[in-house]
Amino acid sequence: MSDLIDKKTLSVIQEPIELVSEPFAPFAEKLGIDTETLLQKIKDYLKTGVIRRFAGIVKHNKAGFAFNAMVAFEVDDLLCDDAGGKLSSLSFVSHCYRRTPYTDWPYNLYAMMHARSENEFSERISEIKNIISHRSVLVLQSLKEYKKSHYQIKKSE
Amino acid sequence: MTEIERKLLNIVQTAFPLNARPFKTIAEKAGITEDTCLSHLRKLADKGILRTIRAVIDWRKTGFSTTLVGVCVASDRIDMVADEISLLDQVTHNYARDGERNLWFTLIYESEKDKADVFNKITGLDGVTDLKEFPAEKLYKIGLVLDV
Repeated sequence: MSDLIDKKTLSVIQEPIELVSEPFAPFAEKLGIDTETLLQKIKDYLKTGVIRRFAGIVKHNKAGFAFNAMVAFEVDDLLCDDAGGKLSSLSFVSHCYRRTPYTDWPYNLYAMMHARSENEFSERISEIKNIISHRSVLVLQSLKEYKKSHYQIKKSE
Repeated sequence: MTEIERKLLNIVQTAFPLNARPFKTIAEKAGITEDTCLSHLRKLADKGILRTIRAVIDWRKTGFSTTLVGVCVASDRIDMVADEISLLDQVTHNYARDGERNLWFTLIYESEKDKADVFNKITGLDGVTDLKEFPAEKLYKIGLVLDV
């Protein structure tokens, strides 16, 4: 891990905040700094990208998004950025990546998409198939969630 | 979900205020009191809709790597294999999906050896017939925000 990154600070600020009036105070206390200094550290990490975002995270299927899929496209290398940009502009696409293909697995563009109903799901699948110029596509519907968590630096490290 | 709940969820997802009294700022934006705001959010958390409010760390910027892994598992073994995989700290997401490559998980690792150890362990599990990794070459979108 880079020397520029203060592991102790990260291990504290990766924890979820409590729903209380002054949620940052306990973190500041743990680190022995004042709340303003802590907030400045968070803002600095946001600026450098170590913290990608500081925000509430909503559970998809409990927020009404019961139909979720990873859609894998095989697209021409030269068109991949364009297709990725198009997919990313859709509000129901939460994640989009170019990934390494294999000879027996030609898909190189992946999008995670979400819908509230089966109807909406089919419509959205058709919509993204229509706007992306692709050679082949695979819809991998989420059937069961076994784990959804976030990585935690061990406190002892 | 009520109108005010939607509004609050959209604010906490997109513009969480980084100040000493963030819920007071959110409440002001939504035109309610801080206490009402907190009680709405607690209710949403109890229902499991608001999972958490926290810093989302880009581990790659801290010396870690991440990858997506797709595994082919015999259908009668998928729950057992999935549970074994979920036990690993380095696995953050793990889903059954339709198709032949029916189990997909994300892995965060510090060294190539860590990754190889995890892959060896998984390919040795009863029912696993193939494992391939699909590392991201380019990130187009990591949203985390859903318009509720």
